[in-house]
Amino acid sequence: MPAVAMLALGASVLSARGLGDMAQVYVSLHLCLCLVTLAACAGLYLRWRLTGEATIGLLAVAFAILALPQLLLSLTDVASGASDLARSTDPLIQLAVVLPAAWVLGRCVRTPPVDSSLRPLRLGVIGGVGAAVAVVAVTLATQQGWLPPTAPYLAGAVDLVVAGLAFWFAHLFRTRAQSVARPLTTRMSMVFVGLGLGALLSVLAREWWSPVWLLSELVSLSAMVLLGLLATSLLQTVLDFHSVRMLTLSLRASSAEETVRREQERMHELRATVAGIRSASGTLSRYEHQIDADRKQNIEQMMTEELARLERLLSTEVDLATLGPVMLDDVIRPLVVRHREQGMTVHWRPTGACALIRADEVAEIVNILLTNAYRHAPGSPITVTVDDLGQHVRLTVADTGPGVSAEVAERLFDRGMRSSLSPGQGLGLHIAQRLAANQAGTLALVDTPTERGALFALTLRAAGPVDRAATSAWTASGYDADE
Amino acid sequence: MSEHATRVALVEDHALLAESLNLALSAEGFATRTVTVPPDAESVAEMLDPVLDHRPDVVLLDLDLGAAGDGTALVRPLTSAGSAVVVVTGASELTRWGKCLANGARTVLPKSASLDVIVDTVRRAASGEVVMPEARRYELIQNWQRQRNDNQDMRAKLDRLTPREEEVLAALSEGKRVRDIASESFVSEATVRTQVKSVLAKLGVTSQIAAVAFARELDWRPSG
Repeated sequence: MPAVAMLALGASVLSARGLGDMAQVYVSLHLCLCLVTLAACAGLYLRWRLTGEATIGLLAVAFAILALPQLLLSLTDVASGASDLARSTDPLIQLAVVLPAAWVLGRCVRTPPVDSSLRPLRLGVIGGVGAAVAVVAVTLATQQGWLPPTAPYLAGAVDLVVAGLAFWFAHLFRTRAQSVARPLTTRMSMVFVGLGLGALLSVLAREWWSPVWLLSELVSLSAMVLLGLLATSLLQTVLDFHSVRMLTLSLRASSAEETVRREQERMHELRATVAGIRSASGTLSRYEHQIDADRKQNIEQMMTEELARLERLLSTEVDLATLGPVMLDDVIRPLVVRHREQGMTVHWRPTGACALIRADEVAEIVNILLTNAYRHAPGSPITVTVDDLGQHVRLTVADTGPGVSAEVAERLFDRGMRSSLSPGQGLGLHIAQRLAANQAGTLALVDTPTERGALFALTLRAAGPVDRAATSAWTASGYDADE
Repeated sequence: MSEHATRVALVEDHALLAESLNLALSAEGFATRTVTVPPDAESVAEMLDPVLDHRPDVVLLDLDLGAAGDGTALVRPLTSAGSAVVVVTGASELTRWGKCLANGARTVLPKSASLDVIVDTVRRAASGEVVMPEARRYELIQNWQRQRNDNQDMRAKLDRLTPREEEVLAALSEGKRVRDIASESFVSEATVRTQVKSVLAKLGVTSQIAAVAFARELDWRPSG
């Protein structure tokens, strides 16, 4: 994105040199700005498609409303080969564009995290085209002399209003927009500060090529480029997140396949064992007198053994024999590093605690809890703790988001349970709890009436301190967290 | 009845079932021999000679032979040697039944079949009677052939992959990310993405997961 912006800038300057007209530079520059803004809209829209965050969707709409009429003006400027400064600063034109965009931005700061009725593409196109039509109407009306020429003080007043709105949004984004990731709120408010400053400076600069005018253009330009960069990084983060999710899903799919295969084998064994016992009992009763004593005793002995085997095959006890002592730090570290890379703030300190677990399954549980926290409390710092309770080890994952309401909490671990605001499928926590039970552990939501956020506690069987070398084999990669 | 006692060979992985069938068939007057699966067997072919040594008129054949593998491969050689093959299996996949029938097995019985049915089937098979209704037999064989053709179509698609595309698909199957594949093979991510796209196009699927599932369904391995 920055490379594209630089290229476009370079091209516009070069073309202007060819024409020898500085007005051309101005026109091309504005065209570039519109394109950068529209690209940012596309980036934000894609992010919305992947995450469903309403704030992001509405941001895309607001900037589309700002950019589309500007694009129209820039294109007519390019076609006519000159720019009319008075026209692009016409207060009516500015209001036609800024007011709908401001209305959308206002909604965007207040919106719930997810709004399933939101259609940013339709809204952006309708709003943008509507604003463009208004701009054309105002321009035509002014040219035809139907509207009185605008007084300069009116233009200044509109610029002041625009600046005020921009600073207000900057403030709102710092304080109110908690429904999206934190890097967004800071950098987004910087974009608005830039836009507000640009508008303020243009109040002072009413003529071309004055230093103040140049400064105002430069500040607006920087704000738009920052917006472009922001949109790219937002998109990149979510794409990375999705590739990790894809990987997790494919791992989960292969582990499910493995379970199904094991179950099929078990069913096969069960059928064969039952068939053997039934056949033997039939033979014994029907041919009792034709079978010699030795073989009879032999077959009866075999039947007893097979019945015991049947019992073992049918037992649903957790197979504790396959649990091994694992250093929990080794399980948590790569997950924490990976989620920090996704832009999450995760507080965690290694403790050296060991538990009797299957490492890959506990990793899956912790991953589900972290992903869950990221989804339901975006931007909120997440704290992972491990406590040695003697017989047990308790691992908690806490966020400071909106928490879990009482009615949702009741059925939180049910298959397919999800709150109306949740974009997920409602399978994660169900799977996590089953995996916990698989290693004779428990997973529960802990009631935290006095604090904000959700706190999940995973209790596992403790293993005494173990040899570091024996457990490190599982640590797949050389991750090293800044702990 | 022929002049010699009907010889029956039991190829059965499961000791109790083998022993009880042996007892029952012996009691019914068949010269019965159980051929056990050697614990260190590496292929079912090793079991062919011990079975044929008995010159069986009828072979009761189990399909899942533990370490030795799939008994389906024994059907044709046993049939060619003149034995009537009766498959007695715990396997419920009807396509495997169809394959055995297509290879010349006289019938397939589930392991849940009663002793009476098994003894009766052995007797009728030995005297050359039809032991499975033709319509049922035809249906099972058709079913197997349909699946085999489907698999052949899928296999043909996999055969169209270039060696590099095979590497990429294999890496995806191991759960590697495009980024990892790129850094391992010292090419850019964009190159790998292009290769992934080409794999998806050739297999006629739209996602990496679907491509991996495609390969897994056929138990595909890269040819290189």
